Amino acid sequence: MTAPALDCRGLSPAVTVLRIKQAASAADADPAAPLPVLLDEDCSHELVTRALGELGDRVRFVVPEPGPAGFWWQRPDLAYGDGQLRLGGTGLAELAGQVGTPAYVYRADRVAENVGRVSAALGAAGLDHRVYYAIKANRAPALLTYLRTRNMCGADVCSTGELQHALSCGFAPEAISFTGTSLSAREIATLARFDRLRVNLDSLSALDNLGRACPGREVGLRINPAAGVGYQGDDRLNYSGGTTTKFGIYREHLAEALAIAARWGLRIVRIHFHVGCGYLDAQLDQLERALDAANAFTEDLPDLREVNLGGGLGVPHTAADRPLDLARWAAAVAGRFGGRGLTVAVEPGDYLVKDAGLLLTTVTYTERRRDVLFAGLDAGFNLAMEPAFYGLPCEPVAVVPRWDEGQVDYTVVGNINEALDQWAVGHRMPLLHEGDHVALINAGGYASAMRSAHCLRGEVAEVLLIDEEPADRPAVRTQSGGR
Amino acid sequence: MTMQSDSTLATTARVGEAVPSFAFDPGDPWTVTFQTGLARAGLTGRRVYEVGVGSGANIAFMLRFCGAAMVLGSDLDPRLPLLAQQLVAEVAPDLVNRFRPIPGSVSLIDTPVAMGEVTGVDAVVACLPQVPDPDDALYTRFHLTQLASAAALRDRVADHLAHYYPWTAFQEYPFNALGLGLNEALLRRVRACAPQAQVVLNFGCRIGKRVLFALFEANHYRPEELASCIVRQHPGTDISFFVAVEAAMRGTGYEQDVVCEFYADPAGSHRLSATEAKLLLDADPTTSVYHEISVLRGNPAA
Repeated sequence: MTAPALDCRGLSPAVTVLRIKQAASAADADPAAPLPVLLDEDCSHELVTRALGELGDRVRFVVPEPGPAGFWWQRPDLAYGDGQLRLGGTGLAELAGQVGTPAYVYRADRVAENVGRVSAALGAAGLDHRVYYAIKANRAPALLTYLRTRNMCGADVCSTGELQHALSCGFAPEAISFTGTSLSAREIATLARFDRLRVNLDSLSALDNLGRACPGREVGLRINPAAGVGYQGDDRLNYSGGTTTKFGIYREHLAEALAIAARWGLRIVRIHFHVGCGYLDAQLDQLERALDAANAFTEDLPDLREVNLGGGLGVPHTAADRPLDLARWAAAVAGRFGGRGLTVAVEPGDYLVKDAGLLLTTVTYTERRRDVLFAGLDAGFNLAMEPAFYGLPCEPVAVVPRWDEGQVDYTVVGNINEALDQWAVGHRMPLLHEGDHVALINAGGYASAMRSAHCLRGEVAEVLLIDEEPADRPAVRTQSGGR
Repeated sequence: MTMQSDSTLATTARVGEAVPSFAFDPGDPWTVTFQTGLARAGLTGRRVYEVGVGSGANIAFMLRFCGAAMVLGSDLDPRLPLLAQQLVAEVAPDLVNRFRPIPGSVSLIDTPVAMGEVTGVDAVVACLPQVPDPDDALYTRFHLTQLASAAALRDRVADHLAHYYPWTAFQEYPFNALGLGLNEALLRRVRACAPQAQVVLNFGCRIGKRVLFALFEANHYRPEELASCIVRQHPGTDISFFVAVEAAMRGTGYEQDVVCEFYADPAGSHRLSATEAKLLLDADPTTSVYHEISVLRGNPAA
């Protein structure tokens, strides 16, 4: 196995010489083994070799990757390393070779980190809180059981099918929040059997039906604050904006809901609202207006113990998107519901899983037609529908970029016979060849969960990566150093 | 926010420990110079993250005297952010709600919470070790190769990790060759998480000020000096690393390109190499030798 190249980019020839001598002094190194070295582009091979004397014979200069300095999506666990895109410690070219493509790949630890960030933000804002993962975003059993065993969150489900699935992955009924829509009589009967399940009813008829089935129960009411929010202001992602939607009970119908609850002795201990999907920093003002509208319901609900915000927290999809400031978000929530003895629940889906996963694909062809250069992939929009349905892109990223061959603009398309089957248009990326791998990032949420077998192209692998725990993390004091 | 403060102060009370003696001496010239630089960093109304909060002296300073809108901070020692909060509560009670301690033991910004918080800041400030741990395996071999002797540390003091860092763990960073691997790791993390943020770092200039500027430029930051001062070499930090660096450069033709910078006098008029400074200290450990410290700001390059 070849040793990784010693990275000397950014160093002058003098410091490069020093660094090579330091690396060569490692006692466990074979004194005759070649030393691969990545030089800075302004650094001369000849000068460095001459300065090193005999040691210069061992040095093998490696061509540096002239890739861009950084990508908007790059982070410590999603970045290029050793010439290929890596998710966590896993090289994706190697993984594609092993499991084939198309393949969904998720990093479980990233999901856990995302849960931790949400929870920490709510905690830091002084809120008693619960996090329920919206499993409709990604119901991979391995991921759900991983989250259950980490005991970091409960599960949010929206159907009795999802309820059974969550139970089968280890979640107890009391750790499950149920908020469905258009419930059938059979679903009401199922819900009635789970008396510890946290059920939120989204219509007067559902409230009436559940009350009849189990009078005296504690329930939640899904409300519609008539103010909503969506990614980049997209109305398709706004669940409670100007247009009347099917989601929840409007303020003008609240009195009727209270009368139904009284009829069956139901105690409304929780309100639930979900005002939209994918909101980021730029939409926080809109969210605050929705929170104010939701808060207005609370004065009529004397038994209220919990406010469930639903989900909708977004992740960046393009270089122009600024990440959601969780501290500001949590402060906005705390400003309305903190200090009142209320528990705040939140049900993120995309925020937890979307950036933790990607769809690995293979280039099937590249071909110029008229003035458009197409790159075809072995995966179509049926495997990740959000780009086509909601304009939430899954940006194509070269897994083993050929930086030395230059970059060009591609229209990246899938293998489905539909005109909307396009992953990106005019997308600049390194030159692609047939057989190269391309990762469609941000495919951890609402991709596998919504996939179809359209055109009978639904075959896809699914891989969950779980980090190895390092045996011996280095201890570094990062304060008051340098004396 | 009230609930947060109450709950955190309660935790602090449970900790019930005094600030470790090594955490920060507010009169220490390193601290004074760092704060001089922070005062010139334009932090008014800004959101700042301090990597390594120590006692919290810099936090109180940035809130009280620099007008920072919000300071967030973490430390490898999980006790220190809470103790720092206690200090801020004591010296600036009206500002304590503008400090947010990041919980847990945080190396650089390597926890999900820390990374998440850094994404939204305008500036990251830090003073990190720039000398390899004498017990580090790779450093031990380098020392032996260059100086034909073991890198023996005479006394392992309580604040050992405030002086030294594990060299091998940061070998992937090119400037680790000069003892700057930890600082380069921080620059890269900040660049990845908060590409808009400036970075203000407090450095010893023993390895030469020129390479400090090169460190910033290589990592896509435009460097500028905010403050500097000549200080006595701290007796708790072994300078053999710099001697080994000079030894490694001999015979390469680049002897004048990597020059360590020490002084025999506090005015900085009589220059010494690291080798000369070490000889003086070996002959008489009470001898004073000096070096410059410098606060550098990196502004993100376009």
